[in-house]
Amino acid sequence: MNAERWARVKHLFQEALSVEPQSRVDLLDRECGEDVALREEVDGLLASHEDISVSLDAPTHVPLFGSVLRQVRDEVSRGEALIGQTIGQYRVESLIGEGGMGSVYLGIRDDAEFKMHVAIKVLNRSSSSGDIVNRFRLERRILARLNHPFIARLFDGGVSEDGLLYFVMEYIPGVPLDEYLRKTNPNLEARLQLFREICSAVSFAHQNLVVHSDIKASNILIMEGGIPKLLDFGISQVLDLEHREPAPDREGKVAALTPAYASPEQLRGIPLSTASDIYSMGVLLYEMICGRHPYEVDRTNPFAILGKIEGGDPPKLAEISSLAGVHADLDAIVLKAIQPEPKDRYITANQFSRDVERYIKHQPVVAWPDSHYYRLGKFVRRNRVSVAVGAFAILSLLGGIFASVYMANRAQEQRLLAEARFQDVRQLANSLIFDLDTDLAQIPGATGVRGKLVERALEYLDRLDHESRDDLELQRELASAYEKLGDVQGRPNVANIGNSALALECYRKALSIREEVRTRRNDIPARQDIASTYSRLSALAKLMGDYEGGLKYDRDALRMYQEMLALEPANIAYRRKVASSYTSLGGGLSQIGDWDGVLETRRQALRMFEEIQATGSDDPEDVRGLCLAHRRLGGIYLMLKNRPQAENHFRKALSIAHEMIREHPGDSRNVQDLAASATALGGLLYEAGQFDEAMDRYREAIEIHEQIASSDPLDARNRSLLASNLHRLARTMIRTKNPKPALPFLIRGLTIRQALVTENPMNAGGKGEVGESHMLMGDYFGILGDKARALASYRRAMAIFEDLQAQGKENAILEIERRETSQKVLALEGRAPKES
Amino acid sequence: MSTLDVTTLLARWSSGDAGALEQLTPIVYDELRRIARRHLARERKDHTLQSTALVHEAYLRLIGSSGSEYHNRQHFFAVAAQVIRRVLVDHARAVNAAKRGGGAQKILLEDQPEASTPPENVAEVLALHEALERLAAFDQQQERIVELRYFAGLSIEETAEVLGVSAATVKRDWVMARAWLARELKGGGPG
Repeated sequence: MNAERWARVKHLFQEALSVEPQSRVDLLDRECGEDVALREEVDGLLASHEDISVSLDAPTHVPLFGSVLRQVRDEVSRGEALIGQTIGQYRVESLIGEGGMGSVYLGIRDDAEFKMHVAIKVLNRSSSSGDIVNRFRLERRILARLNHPFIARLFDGGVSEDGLLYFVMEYIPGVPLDEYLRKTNPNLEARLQLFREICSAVSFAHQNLVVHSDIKASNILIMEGGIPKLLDFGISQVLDLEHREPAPDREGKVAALTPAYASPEQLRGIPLSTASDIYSMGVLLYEMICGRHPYEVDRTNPFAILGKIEGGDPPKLAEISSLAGVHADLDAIVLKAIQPEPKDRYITANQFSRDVERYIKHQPVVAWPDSHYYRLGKFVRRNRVSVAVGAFAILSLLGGIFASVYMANRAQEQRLLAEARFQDVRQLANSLIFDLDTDLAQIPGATGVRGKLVERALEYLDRLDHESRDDLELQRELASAYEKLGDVQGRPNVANIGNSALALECYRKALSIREEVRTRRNDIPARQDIASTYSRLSALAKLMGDYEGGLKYDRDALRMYQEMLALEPANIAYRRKVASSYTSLGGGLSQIGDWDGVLETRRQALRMFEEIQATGSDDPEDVRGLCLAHRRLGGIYLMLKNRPQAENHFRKALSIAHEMIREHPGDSRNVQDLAASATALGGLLYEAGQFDEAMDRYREAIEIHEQIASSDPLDARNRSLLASNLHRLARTMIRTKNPKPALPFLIRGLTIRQALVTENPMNAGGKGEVGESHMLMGDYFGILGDKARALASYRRAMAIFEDLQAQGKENAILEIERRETSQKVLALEGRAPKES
Repeated sequence: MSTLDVTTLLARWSSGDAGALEQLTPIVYDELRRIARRHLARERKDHTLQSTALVHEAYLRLIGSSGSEYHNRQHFFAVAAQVIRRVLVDHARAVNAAKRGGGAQKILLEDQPEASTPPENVAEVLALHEALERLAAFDQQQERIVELRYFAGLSIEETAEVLGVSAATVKRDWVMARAWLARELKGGGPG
């Protein structure tokens, strides 16, 4: 059919209808003539018309619109059906609001114990899977920490039996912020103070690494008394990843963001960041001052706002606000918050808030371009490293800053990298809630927690290292971070988790960075840093059985410190370092049996500490150093059979330790000093044959180590000392007339030592000690006349000693023990010892 | 979303900018849904919501009662009718595809409760749509009349207003278009 033909049909059809039915046939006969097709067409239409019974003027019900209606009705009826139902632990009471994302219901938890009202937000969309529930579980720990007076708590979330996605939140009786402002019309300062309260909530969430991503006036309720409550915190986090539809698509399905408040990067589909929240806060502040958004939003094309944002500044608040006291500084503040580039915005909500505070107080704001921003950026850069340096408590606080800095730096070019980083930092901050600094080291019980954190921290540092080659300060701090992590992993003689291999890796990284730094800046701090790493490497090398290596590091460290002291002879700190270097070197020399060298270094160390003491220092570290120096010097005198000198120094050490405990009872290191001194004196008394008093000293030390072990069972060093004292007590008992009670101490000591070796197979010294325990066990059974068991024990000891010898990890003492054991085995086997 | 934007889009569309319709569609659709939702929530027992009411309310919400520009109203109704038609056709196609796809979505259809609006026949929507496209080939005015009456629920008079013709003309064309479509949908007639 063509239009011409249709016009003809139309004419005839309408003509036919306008005449009486009986005249129609005549009309059509006449008009159609021979055109049978035309006639059939018109007849067919007329017949069809007769079939339609509905009156022409009847209202059109538009049944076909039913599919849309049905879709909507299903949602409504599902919502209705919810009332009276139970979601999670909550009964749905009534509908209290509807929004773009879904409906909010009043729910009640009605247990036997308590009643609680909650708001249950039921999202329009159903969840396709249990992912959301899993994610909620993952986030729950973080959300549970989100306990802030201005944040509505998120209690629960999941998928209902009907497949509806829901969140259970604190029920807040209040009015939305925009409505509140319209009704109460507060003055400028009141508005700004309210905004700062909102900032504090946002800042708190950011510090807990929760990003809101949909901050807007309608998400902030004001309760009676003007108290703000931010809603929906954490929801975006839970809805993150595959459930996100960041950018609106061509169909206009705008997802969980509000274009008027969404940052440019959010509109572009870049996921959550604290910087986006800062942007939204800027829009919010603007709206709170003048009642409108900075940029007109075109809902049909949310991307259009990008052009507007980049096209120029919004109308000036100072010009359009009707409030008194609005001037250009406030515009500068808002503009800084809504900069298109995240890096140009305020770095944290706190910083934003402080600038608003400055405005209130009529102080200069930092928002103006070319202000202190550069220096501030520098500060944050430093802090993100100082975080890694070990103040991990600070890290959890700075987490938000950290993340936002990263997001800011990377958002444009390296979005994916930034995301990965954000996750890294986030994971880190979630875990690294404990402080690794010296304060924490004093608290028994923290070693295990500290250790768990480290591997992730290392990964993170490696990446940071990679990016910071050109920044000397950053490199220095990074080296410190490695060193600190090495300490936690396995720094000998402080609480550590006994992973020498990782500690060695950390120290080597620190050393290599520091040597590199020193080539560029050869000053005292550079020397000091290197010396500090040498010292640690030395202690670690010795622990791992590399005595020559340890000695080399000791001498390197001593040389560094001596250079520093020569440059600044009055510097007590350097003198301390020289002293402890001597102590450490002495330890190394003793392991190769250079007793004269040991005696000399011990004397030098004591001399240093006495010189420090003479300057009037009452620093507990110095006192402890003096205590240790006496103990060490006593030890070498004992070794050299100079018993009176040994006893003299041990008793001095013991009395210093007692005094320290009186003065600083809370510091576990003093107790450890006491134990060590008691152990040392016990050894001397044992040598002198004063077994009873020796056993008393050992029991004293054991008691202390038991206490520490019960509060911090993972402290490897303490357990090692405990085992040694148990061993010594047993050894002393064996020499008395009543050796039998020694067995439980023997067994316990051996068990602990074996456990330590299992935990840290790199600990060669620990293996030697296990051998030593077996050897003593052999002595025990030998004395009781149980030759078979004695032989078995000696053989176990021999196997260990020979193994260590084969690995080149034998030291002087182990060598003596190996030979001794060998002779005992031969004797028990009834063969003549080789060397007799 | 401001009134200004909608009126601008309407003006652009009426002057032949097809892209403007693309932009208007989601706005109008959202608004229609929102209104429908509110009505249904309020009148829980009675779901006899007419699309006329929807369209009128959407118009008021999106353009405002000031109605300064007479033509906007006409354009808006025309857009609404097109939007509703498009939505329904898309929906019908989706359902059809799902049915072909297998059992899962079949539940969706069977699940639909009896409503006061007659059960929709997906095939009928598509058939009607295709018939209307054929009709448009030789009578665009009748196509638009059907669209406005059938999808937007406008009265004869409103339709006449939108199209700028007399009510008698609309009535005559409506009668004929209905007769033609009825025959087309029955599968009869030479077309």
